Amino acid sequence: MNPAKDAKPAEPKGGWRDITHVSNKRSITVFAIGAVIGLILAGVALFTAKGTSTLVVPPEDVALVNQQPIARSDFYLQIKALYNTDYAQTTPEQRKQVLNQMIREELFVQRGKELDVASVDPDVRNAMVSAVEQGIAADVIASRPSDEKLTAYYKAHQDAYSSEGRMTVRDLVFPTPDAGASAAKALRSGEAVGSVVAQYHGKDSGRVNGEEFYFAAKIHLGDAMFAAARSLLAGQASAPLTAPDGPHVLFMVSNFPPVPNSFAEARSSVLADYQKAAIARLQNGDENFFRKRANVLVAEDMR
Amino acid sequence: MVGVSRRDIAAAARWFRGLSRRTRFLVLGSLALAAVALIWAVLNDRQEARLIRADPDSLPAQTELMRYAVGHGRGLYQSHCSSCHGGQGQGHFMLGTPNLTDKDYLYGDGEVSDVETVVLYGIRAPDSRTWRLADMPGFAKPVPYEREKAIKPLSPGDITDLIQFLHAIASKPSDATAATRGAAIFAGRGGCWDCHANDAKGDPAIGAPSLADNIWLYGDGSDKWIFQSIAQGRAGQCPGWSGRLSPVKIRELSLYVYSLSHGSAKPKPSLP
Repeated sequence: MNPAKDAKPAEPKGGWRDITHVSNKRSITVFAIGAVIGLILAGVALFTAKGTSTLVVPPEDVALVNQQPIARSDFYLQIKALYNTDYAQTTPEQRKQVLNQMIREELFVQRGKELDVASVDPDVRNAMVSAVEQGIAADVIASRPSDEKLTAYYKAHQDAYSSEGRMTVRDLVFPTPDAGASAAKALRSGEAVGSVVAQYHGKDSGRVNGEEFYFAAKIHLGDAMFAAARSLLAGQASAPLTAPDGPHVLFMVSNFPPVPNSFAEARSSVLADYQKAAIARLQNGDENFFRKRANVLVAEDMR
Repeated sequence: MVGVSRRDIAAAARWFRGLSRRTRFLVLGSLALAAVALIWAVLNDRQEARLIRADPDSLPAQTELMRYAVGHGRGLYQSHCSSCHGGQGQGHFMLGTPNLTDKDYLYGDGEVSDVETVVLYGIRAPDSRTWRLADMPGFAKPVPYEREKAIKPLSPGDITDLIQFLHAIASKPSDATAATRGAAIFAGRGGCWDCHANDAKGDPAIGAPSLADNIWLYGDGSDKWIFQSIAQGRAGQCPGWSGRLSPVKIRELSLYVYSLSHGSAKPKPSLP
């Protein structure tokens, strides 16, 4: 017996926990754990990786066509859309029919890819552009901005969040400039509209009718008259305004200018506008990135 | 066995016997842990497969699967939906996010498949399969509805009359004369009936809410809020999670949302 040969290698003083010395036990244990973890990871990766060829249809799909899945959710949606009823109320024949249609569609889509339909068919091209744009927008919609960001956006664009102004205005037309001037003076002194119209042979133009939103009053009165009307307070009359059909005098019955909406009132609109702006920004950014990485050659006469 | 001879196995056994008791315990413990993890993964996988293969509307009757899904869905809801719908699903009247705990359904009849369609494709989300059949026009705009130019703006008085009509059908105090005028606008030039139905009870096929139930998506049902909705229009959005969450997670989330408004609901009877 050779005692030197049979002796086990000396363990370090601190046992296997002492990492300043080599420990066979520790090496073997770490090796074993690493091997097990590695095997598990390899197994998971092997059976879940995209593109892995498999003979088993994953539970979330109803079929695989050349390894391309047909999603179960799309299948249910198709059934509901086609038969306008719940899945449980459909017959096996109906389900088979829908599945066959979806398989057919997938086969034709795959053939379309082989034929590179996207390079020639404007509808396919439009659909692809739209799908990529929608994908970019979906990122924005799925992430909810914080209240701080929304408040900052609201403060920066506060003018956009107000109620539509309303006014009730009488648009009176008079036969002569003198009559118009006298009527305006009389209205300003507080005479009733009816008596002023009768006294100076005026009439209502009929352009405006009762209370109107500012935008409607602007369309009905025209830009110049609306500008004059907007500045009038209730009970005030404008100076005569020249028009082809005679001098007009505006008498304001009531005027409610736009009132800024509070953040709470405008919150849903602020969120929508914030997201719209973010989508536009992101789509521009993506377009710039696509251009940057692309090799675009432009004909000389088009540069 | 390819590459492994009896000699190799004997050598491995000798190596294992040569290990100290503590090391042997660690090796066997690791293997046992891996085996448990593997069994758990397989069982979980089977449970998920059952969940995803089932007709969604049949799931509420399957208590065990329901419990499994709702348990997982709760966390998903908190991280993906609660910022708009609130931690308890109570909604937010300023954002127009509906209360998910009541039985007032905007889209569909509140079946699991209806909920799942919204979770998958969203509402007015950037997805061609999303719910996007109608928006609420803004009648205080020169063009109230871009998609239907025949709809013309209304005057402030028209909107006030419509509000009185809505109060009347909800059996709230109202001005009868104004309500009559409002009814004519609702059924006529306002075009409101087209989405909200002749009886103003809404249309779940296009997400038009009932106006007769005193449940308000935006605001508190006061004249001010109703005026704002009619004047400025509404078009709330909900993101779709198709392609962002796995099908299993989408189903778990859908079942959790369904559970917020249902107790132990029974599924519709299916064909044999």
